[in-house]
This record gives sequence, C-alpha cells and structure tokens, in this order.
Amino acid sequence: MRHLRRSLAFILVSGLATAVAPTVRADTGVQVGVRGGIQLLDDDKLDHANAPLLGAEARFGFELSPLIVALTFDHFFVDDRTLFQVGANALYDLPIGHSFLYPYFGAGVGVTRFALPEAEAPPVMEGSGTGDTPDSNGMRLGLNLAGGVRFEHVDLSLVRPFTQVMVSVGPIDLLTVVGGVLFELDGDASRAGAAAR
Amino acid sequence: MRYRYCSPLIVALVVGVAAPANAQLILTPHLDARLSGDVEPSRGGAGVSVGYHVPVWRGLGAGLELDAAWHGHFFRDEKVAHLVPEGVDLNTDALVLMGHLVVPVSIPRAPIWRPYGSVGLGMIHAVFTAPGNEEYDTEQDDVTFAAGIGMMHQLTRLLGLRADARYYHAFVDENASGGYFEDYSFFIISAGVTFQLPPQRWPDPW
Repeated sequence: MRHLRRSLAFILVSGLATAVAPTVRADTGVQVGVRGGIQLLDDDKLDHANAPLLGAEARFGFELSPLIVALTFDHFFVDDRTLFQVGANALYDLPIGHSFLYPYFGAGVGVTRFALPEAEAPPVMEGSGTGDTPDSNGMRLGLNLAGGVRFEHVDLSLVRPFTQVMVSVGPIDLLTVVGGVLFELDGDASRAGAAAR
Repeated sequence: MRYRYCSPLIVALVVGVAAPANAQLILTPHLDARLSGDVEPSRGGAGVSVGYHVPVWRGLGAGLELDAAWHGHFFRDEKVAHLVPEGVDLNTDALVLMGHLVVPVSIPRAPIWRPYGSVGLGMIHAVFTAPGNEEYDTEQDDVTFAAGIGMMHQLTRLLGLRADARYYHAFVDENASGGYFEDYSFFIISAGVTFQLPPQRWPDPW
C-alpha cells in the first residue's frame, strides 16, 4: 500500500505538472552516452551500499510530446555478486531552465537483476514458491523516480553533460547519484536547449 | 456455400470501412507490478492489450479492451503452504484475462494527454505447480472484476506511453477445485508502450 500511495501521488503530480505547464515540445532526436556514479542505500542484506556503478543511456525525443524517453543500463560493482538494472524512464524538462542549465524530473520502471552466492541469499529475496530456499538470483520490477540537471550550450553542440539522482522503489531499493555525458547523434547545434523551450 | 464463408469477411470489411472517424485501434504491451493486496506483492507480470476506442460526445470516448497478462509467484507463500508437505516447493502463477470498458477523456488544448477510467470483467486462471511432485499440481479459474484509472500520452502519430493503476477482485468458488478458497483482491500498476492504428495525431477536440 505504501508503494501504491507513492506511485499514485507521483503520477498525479507528474500529470498535473506537465498538463498545467506551458505547452512545450521536445525536439526529435536521439542522444546516447555513458554514465557513472554511486548507489547510496545501505542494505546489509544485499550489501550493495556505496557500490560504484557504470552504465549507458539513450534518450529519445518525439515530434508530439514534451517527454523524453530514456533507456538506461546500470551495472553495480558489488563483491561476489551480480547486480544490474535496465530502466525506461519518461523525463520532463521543467520550464525554468536558464541559458545552459535545464532541470528535469521523470518516472519510469526498472528491472533489477541480481545473483548472489547460494549460501548468502537473504530473506528479502523470497523464493519463487513455498518451502524453497530464498532466490539466489532473479529479476525484480521497481518504480523509478528521477531528477536531474542537463547542461547545454551552443559551444558544445554535440555534448550534453548531465547529473541525476534516482530512487528505485520496490523489492530492491536503490538510490543512485550519477553523472554522464550524452552525445547528440545528428549533431544539430541549433537544437541545443530546444527541449526545454 | 462459398458465400457463407465469405460473409464474415464481408461483415468485417463493412464494419471497418464504416468505423467512425477518429476511431483508434490501440495495441499495448505492458509490464505490471502488484503493489498490495491478498496476493504476493512486489512481484510483476507482463501482458498485452488490444483496444478499440471511438469518440462519443464532446471529448468523451468509449472503448473496449481485451487484455491478457501472465503473473509469476502469484499467491503469498504463507497462504498456500498448507497445500504441500513441508519441504515441497509449490509455485503459483496466474494468467489474467480481462475485458475492460474504457472511457477516455480528451483534454482541451492538450490532446496528447488522454486520461481514462475503466471497469472490467474477466477471469484469473491460477496454476499451482510442485516441481518433481506433480500430484500436487492443480489450477483454478476465478471470475474477476477490475476498475482503475490511467493516462495515455501520445509521443508520435504511431507511438505512445501508458500508465494505469487498477484494483482487481476475484470471486472464488469455494466448492470448485483448486488451491485457494477465498475471495482475493489486489492493486496493479502497469506501464506500457502504445501502438496506434491508424497512425494519426489525436484531434483537439476528439
């Protein structure tokens, strides 16, 4: 029920914010890049606190929508175990951007894959059935909430640095702080900042 | 005789041609997360829905959607553990087959956003399997009611996004075979990508 309340509240706030805000339209285009950062949540069961992460991201703008769809992959470096997340988030540029800083927020879903040593499978990874041992590997679906700032400048026509904080809520909670660089695939300098206008 | 076999095709063709202007066929593959309720929370499923939406009156529409979704680890372990001896693993999965009546609303000056409400009726086909102990395998079908709200968003003339939250209540026949013998209910939040046919910009007003 806690997740449901949080999810519904975020959907309502996001919907209201984007519906009430002036009509803006993201430019069509594709940006791809790399990202790195750290996962901050302290979870002794998964033992993934302060785990560094490295990943990749692609962002897509569309002709009719102010939303940008970001597809992400993050691999978390945790001793003796595998942990990574594939995510799909819808990002919205807040209409308060300065000339080169563009804040945004977003929401989406993430599928987190884990693999642990059999003997260490924690209770949080409940098994797939009754009477079994906890899962030592599997996938879990979670809700992603993100906020960040993108840097755009006409002198950097191809490069879009960004920093972002994202929380994933669900069976596996994650709080990540990442920074990265995106590259505009079509290299159209005139599009710098267009997504926020 | 040949005309008899052709007649359904002709009817379908006539219905298709006579479809109201701005009618839309919407295909939505989606991921689901169960959030709370009597079934195992924090687990997911995946499915696909096919809907046919038509404008009805002043921005209000109506639609019929058929939805099929597969959910793994469906029932809470503690609710079904008594079905098998200790040490025997019992997995529960479910196929959720629903038909939903959908009422989409076109927002003036923001037609790319389309909130909707829905009510549905269908069936949950629950499957109980005990690997290596087939004598405990069983299944049951439960008539199910659903209601929810959601939002569709148009990205391009063909593509869109969709998110919704729905409440499900299953009515269990306690005298039938199966493994779960009381009514159960739960919430699902789902997100999906929509494919719209014919590809077109949503008009303002619809």
